[in-house]
Amino acid sequence: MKNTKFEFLKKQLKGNYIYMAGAMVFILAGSFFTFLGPRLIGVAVDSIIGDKPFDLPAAVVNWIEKTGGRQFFLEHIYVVVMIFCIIRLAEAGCEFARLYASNHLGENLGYNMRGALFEKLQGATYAYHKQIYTGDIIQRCSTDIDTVRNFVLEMADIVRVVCKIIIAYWFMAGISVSLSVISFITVPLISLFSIFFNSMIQKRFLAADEAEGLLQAGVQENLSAPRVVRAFGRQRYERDKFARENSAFSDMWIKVGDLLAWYWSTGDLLTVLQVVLVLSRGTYFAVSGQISAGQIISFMTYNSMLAWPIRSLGRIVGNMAKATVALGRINEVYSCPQEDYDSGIQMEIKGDIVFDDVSFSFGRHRIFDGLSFTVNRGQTVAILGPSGVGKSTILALLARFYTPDSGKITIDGVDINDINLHCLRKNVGIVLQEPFLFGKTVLENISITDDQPDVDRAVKSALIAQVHHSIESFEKGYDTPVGEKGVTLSGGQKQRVAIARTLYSRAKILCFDDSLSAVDSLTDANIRAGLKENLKGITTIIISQRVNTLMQADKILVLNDGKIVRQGTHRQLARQEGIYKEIVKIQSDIIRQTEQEAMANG
Amino acid sequence: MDRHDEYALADHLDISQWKRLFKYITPYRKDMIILLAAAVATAFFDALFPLMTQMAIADFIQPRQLKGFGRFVVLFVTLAVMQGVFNVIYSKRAIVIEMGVGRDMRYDLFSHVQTLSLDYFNRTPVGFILARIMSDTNSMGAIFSWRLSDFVFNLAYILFASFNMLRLNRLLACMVLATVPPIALLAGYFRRRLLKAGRAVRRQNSLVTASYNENINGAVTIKELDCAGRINRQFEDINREMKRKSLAAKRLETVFFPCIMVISSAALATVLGMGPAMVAGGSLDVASLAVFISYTFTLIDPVEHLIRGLTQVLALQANVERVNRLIDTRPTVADSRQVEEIYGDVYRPKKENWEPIKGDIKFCDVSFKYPDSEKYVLEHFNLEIPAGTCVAIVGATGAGKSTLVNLVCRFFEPTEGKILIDGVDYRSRSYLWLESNLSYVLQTPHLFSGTIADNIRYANPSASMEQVIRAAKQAQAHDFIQKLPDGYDTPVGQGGDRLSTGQKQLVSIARAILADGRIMVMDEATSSVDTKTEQLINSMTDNLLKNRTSFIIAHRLSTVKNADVIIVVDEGKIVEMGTHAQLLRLHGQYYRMYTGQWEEDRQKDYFDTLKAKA
Repeated sequence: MKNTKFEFLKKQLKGNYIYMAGAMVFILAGSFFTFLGPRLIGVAVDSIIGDKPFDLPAAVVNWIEKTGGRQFFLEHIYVVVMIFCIIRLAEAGCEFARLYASNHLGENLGYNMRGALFEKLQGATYAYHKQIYTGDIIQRCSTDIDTVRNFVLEMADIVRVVCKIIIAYWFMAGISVSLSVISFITVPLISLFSIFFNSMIQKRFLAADEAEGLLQAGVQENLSAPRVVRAFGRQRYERDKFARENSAFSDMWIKVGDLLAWYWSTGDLLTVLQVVLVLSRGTYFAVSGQISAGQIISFMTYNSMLAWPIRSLGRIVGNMAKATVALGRINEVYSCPQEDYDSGIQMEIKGDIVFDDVSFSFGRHRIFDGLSFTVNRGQTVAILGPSGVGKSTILALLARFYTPDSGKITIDGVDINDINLHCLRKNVGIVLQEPFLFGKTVLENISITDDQPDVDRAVKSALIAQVHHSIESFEKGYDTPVGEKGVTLSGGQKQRVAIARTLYSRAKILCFDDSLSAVDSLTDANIRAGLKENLKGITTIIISQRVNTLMQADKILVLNDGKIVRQGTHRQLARQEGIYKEIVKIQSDIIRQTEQEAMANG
Repeated sequence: MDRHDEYALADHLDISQWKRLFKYITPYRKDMIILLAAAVATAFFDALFPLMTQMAIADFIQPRQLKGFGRFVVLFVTLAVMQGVFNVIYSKRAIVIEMGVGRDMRYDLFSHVQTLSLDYFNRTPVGFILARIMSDTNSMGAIFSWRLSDFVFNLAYILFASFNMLRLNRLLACMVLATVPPIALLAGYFRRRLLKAGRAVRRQNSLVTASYNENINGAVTIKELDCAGRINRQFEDINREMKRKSLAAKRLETVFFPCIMVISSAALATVLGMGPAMVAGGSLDVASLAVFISYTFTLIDPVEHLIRGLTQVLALQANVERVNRLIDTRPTVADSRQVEEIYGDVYRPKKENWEPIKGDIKFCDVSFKYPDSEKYVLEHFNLEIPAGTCVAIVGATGAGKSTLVNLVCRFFEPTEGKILIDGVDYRSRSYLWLESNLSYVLQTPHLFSGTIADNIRYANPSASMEQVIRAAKQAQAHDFIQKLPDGYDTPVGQGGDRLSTGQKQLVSIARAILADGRIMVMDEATSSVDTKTEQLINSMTDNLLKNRTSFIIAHRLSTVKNADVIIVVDEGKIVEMGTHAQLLRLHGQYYRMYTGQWEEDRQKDYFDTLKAKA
């Protein structure tokens, strides 16, 4: 279990090992060429300008002697220049290849992770979605992914830094072992200093970041509530409060800056002092004849090339810890429980529904205890009951968002657990009380289940849902964007668009979860009449409190205490003592009483 | 082009826009001089160090003697320490200026935004204003400190290095410096393109985030409609485009850095090709050659950074314009000069000149349309509301119930006609005067971070604890507050999120009661409290509204039956107006709403009794 997050990373890296290997190879080769340049310059100074013997491998010296020795190169210096240019070109080429490989590695990794998380989230169970916070998940899918991606690239950076150090010291040791030792002593010192200071500053950074977050949250609160500020005339109070927090925040950063100033300057000073040490020691060696001027030049160049890589180690080590945390957070999302869309049978659904002795509870809270009822294909069934009794849960069970603890739900005689989930959900269309619309056009919203919107079908669905005329009244009609970037639909319009969307999907079973509540009773009646006329053979389940809606159903189920307490038609139930009769009576009472109130003076 | 597009780039540099911000540097003139002097000094030392290598070679290595070597080391260390000191000064000054400029700008922007009218907030996303106040000010602070001093540092380094090289060998120096313009041109070209590519990536990234956001919020709907496959494919397109754009930006870097390397090699190659002949000819010694080599290695970075700094100025051009545009935004509801002279402005009110308020309100032939709309929602509206009257406004959500209240509170002003308060056009008094006389309970009971007591006291910061508690008791909030572990000192969290909506509403009612204004507005004040509490509040309401002119906006009609006037609003227009009984007799919209709601309530009561029995 412990290593699942690295398993996840491995999976996402799949197919990119070639880029990883490429990056490594070109880092190595590039570092080699980087350090070959100064060596060449040193040799040129010593043995071409000066008259020291060539301090190079025997094979190279042989070649030089065969070509014509020092004199030849002094006269034909362009040959040296060309060799130098070739080395630099090779270095540039390696740099190009390294960047190419690591950029592809990074972007592929980001792309893979984003895509993988997105699909996992879409496949996650209903229960999972009910418990997550969108903001948190988004942060994991954006900031954390970036952190992990940068970490993988920084791993390559570590390799690069280490390679540079090794190769540099290999070259440097070739010039002077004792000078290299002196230079090298300071490496652990500087890197430890950098790691130590980084961890110290990280804490202060975090504190300052938090202060910034607070200040930002305060401003956001203020900007989100301009009406409150005005309603109480508190502009000056808000300004003064902001001024205090603003100053506190700036002072905090100035303190961080002070620390940083010392860190950078001390780091710089250490680096320069190291140069002082190496140069003075080198001068001493040179005077005593152990090394030459050209070698000093090469050596000092190498030495200066190492300053930054060594100092960056501290930062990289700091990021490593952050990346591990981020990877864990991503992996949590990636491991979210998934629904099974693959198994189960595909079937033509007709719409006979049976709930057979179904029991279901949320945690310890019992919702249904032996719930049984049947709905025949083509029937319209209405469900009535107090709030919290589980009317919506019936629909959630039917769409298999939840599975019953015991008992069986069948459609056309087949247990819904055996039906393929795509097949089931395509045929059970639910319109929620508070529907969610996408930030797309009205047409795209209605035809969301189709790759190519069928305009005729969309219009026909909108007509039945009684929303066509509202849509036509918008300036851009069906192409009007919904939400932030477009029109704000009223609650009733949203519900009717959602109804059109479900009608468009051609589900065989339609469920309205109190979704006609935001439209007035006349529109409600029109919609139901439209459904009856246009959708022959469709099974409809309506949750509602309106007597006018309920009375036209083929069957009314009265739900109470986890059970069906009554069922039948309006005419049957209205005659029996019980909940339904009471509800009908309340309605007629109200009409009578209102008339009385209207007659009162005033 | 969308005026709230965060990622748009300005196409040219406009110095006049920047000039307007220069006033923020003025208070830091001294720090600025020290900073720039320190930048020059550090550059000077940096350029000096290669000369030390030269000295080591010329004075000790070549003559093979160590006389004065101790002095050399001491000098070297002294220089290093001095540079360290200048480094500290440099960094410290830079952060002081960065934070100071940022702070002052933030303060000015924030203060300015407080005076803007509600229509600005209605049409501008919070995130957009937030970005101006927070991140733009940060960028400006950085550009007037670090970016500016970096620029000076790099320029100084290039000048010092050039000077030293020219001193050592004019011809070789010219050859080396000849590579600077091509590097600068190349860097300029690539930086500009990188800037554009970077913006494209950020824009695409915001699409990725938006897509995550929408499809997580809509996940349940996507399941219901079984269209996850299609949604996944749509995201796949956005995601692939993100990768493509990122790679396009990265590709520029992939070409850019090696290119710079190649050009800088040309300089080195020149030194290498010409150096030996010069040494042999005696116009250059080996020690000076070492200096040249060192400078050619270190000259590229400053040149590249110089260009990068210039590009950043270009990158921020659009932000500077956006900040200036915000500063230029004038409130649509503002007091005239004359009014300000008598009554003061929001930050310096002259309360001694404020008249007491009675609360008579009169709409005189008022026509009104919202600033961003062409459609009139009120036309030639007349209504007299004597002090102490209770006006109820009812209608469906989004029907425009708030319009009248917006006008009364002067959050918006009539497009035509006028509104009199105590017989005087309210525009002839300051809006803060009116705001100070309001008791307002908002529909979304927005609370601020802080304790419950802080929030109630928002209405009157000088109120005593007794007054706070009395207000809470009247609002029926005292009971639940007392039950909290920290009572009135309980922090409510950001936006009040640690309280339930119902509790927030009670606190916001207490807040309004403490304000003790002559004009009271209750905008769906009790929509989220339970029925029992609502009844308790309603029983207090009569007492509360006595002696106040009040406006009650309600979705629930049981609360408005006793109002003196009921106004029914639909699709932004007033459709019915009268007393409860008058409206019922109309058998119109009010009648339908009233019976419908009553039926629901009675059903609920009935089910509740059923539950109680079981």
